[in-house]
Amino acid sequence: MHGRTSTPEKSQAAQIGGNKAYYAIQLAAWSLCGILQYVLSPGSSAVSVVTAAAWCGTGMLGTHFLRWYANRRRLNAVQQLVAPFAIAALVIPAAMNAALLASSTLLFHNSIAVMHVVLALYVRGVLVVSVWCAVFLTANEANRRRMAETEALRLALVAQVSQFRALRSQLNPHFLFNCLNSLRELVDEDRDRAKQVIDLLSELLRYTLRADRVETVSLREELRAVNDYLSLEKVRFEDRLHIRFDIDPQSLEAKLPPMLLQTLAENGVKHGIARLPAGGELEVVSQVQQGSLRVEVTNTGTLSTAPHASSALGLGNARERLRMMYGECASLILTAKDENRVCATVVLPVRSKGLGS
Amino acid sequence: MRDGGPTGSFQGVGILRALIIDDERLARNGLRRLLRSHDNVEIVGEAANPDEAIRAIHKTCPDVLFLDVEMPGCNGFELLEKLEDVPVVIFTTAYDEYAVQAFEVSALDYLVKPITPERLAASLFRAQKAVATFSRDSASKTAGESVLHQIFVRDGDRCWIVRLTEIPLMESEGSYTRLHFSGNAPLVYRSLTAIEERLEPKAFFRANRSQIINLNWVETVENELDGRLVVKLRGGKDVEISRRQSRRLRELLSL
Repeated sequence: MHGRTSTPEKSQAAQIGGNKAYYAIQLAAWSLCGILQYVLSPGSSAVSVVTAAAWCGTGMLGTHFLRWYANRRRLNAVQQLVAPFAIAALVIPAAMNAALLASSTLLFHNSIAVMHVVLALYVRGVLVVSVWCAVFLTANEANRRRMAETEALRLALVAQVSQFRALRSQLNPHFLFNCLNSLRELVDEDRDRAKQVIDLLSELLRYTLRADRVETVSLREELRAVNDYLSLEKVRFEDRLHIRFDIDPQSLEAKLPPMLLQTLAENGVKHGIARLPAGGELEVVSQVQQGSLRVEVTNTGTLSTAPHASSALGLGNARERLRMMYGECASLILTAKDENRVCATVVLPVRSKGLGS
Repeated sequence: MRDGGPTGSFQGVGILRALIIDDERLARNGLRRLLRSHDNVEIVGEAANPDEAIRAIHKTCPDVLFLDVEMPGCNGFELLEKLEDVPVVIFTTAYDEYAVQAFEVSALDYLVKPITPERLAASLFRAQKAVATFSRDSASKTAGESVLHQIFVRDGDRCWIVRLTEIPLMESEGSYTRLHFSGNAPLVYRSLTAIEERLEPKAFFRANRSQIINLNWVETVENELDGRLVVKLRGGKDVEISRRQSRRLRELLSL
């Protein structure tokens, strides 16, 4: 209405507000019409007042009924409204004339039923009601467009939000069940280790639940989760998985979307280490360069085996998330570092304080 | 060995010789521990990857495989593809996305990890029944190579572990063989002759140069004017028997 995008609640309120506005305008316009009618009518002022009031009052009631009828029948499009409005523009003035004549005859025994006067009045009535219809149609059409626009915006927003939720990466159920399976055996084999695994798993689960609520976390927090995750994988893979962190202390407070590195680490384990009978190493390196946070997750493996359908999906989701949050300022690429190492590199702008999204 | 062993009868509580294939030590140990409470199961070996698994299978000829679907190198299905004769297979998986696939291959069963003792017991019961019927199938084994029980076949995304007794007709196609069973006709990458060598001779019969029929699936046998026979198999296929083989078939069926 005023160039501001309104939320759906507001747009509904606007319709109700529109209702109030309608009453105000309807009353004002017909009152004005009555005054004009009074001014223009000949004869005694008492008769003029009453007849003008009867004439315009009937017009006001008639058009109000017309609006009620249109709303009731849910006539909204111009094409639907034209026919009833055309009929109304002929019928309502007749009613107005009848009311005028009746009031003047009944109250003042003053019949002004002269043909040309009545005809002129009728034409005036048709004109007035036509104007009313035109205004109503224009306002209605504008309102309709605005509603459609608002609805389109709302739908786009809903789509965006749900897409964003879907893109949030969650813990892979496969990983969870494998963990539980290891745990089942550890309870018999090594109780202390089993307790450790329970602790790690609880921490990681708590983190993923939190990741659903916050938009970003510090690298410090994310790395802790990655470490928990890799420690759990280490329980499964034992000597087949080696973990290495090389973290620039300056990068620890940089912000990034939660679960981003976890996803990369999981990809590296799933498509790299898990496919190699002898296993391999997973390395996480971070640094801050020229206002950008750069994190590399490297795993043993070859790229030719990496672009599996689900891998492409996992990284695709992560990429889409980055695009939604940072636009073109962030990147995520997967490259072969050398013959038997695959590296996923994320570059994100380091957000300075006070600068919103 | 399973094939020659005296475990043919159903009642005879045969020992199930099991091989555990899983890349995770804890998972193997867990299963071993669970199997310990089953007196009728003997664990003949463990394998941590497909190569080890193939060696172990050839060496120990297990009755049943506990096979982890996801393994480094190749997955469980690829492993089965490399086996000539496929034992009873119980898939194990941490997540049931593969379980659906396992059903399509008509594996005996699948177990989701963590494996519960109840589910394991149910699986073992079924495995035992299956192994018992295998022994019955191959009651009249000839000397030499052991008789095939099951073949793993793949056709695009679909795969099956198909019991030989369920195959009415095999057809040679170049150096490969097409198996016809229940509306499917996948190709096996083995020659018909290679398969024939390991078929139960009482059940399978060479109809002509390119076809082998399963006698248990024969519905009717008709004489042609030229002295040859035409066999109608259950399921609708007609197979012409060559002149020489027609004589043999007559003898066999004492027509």
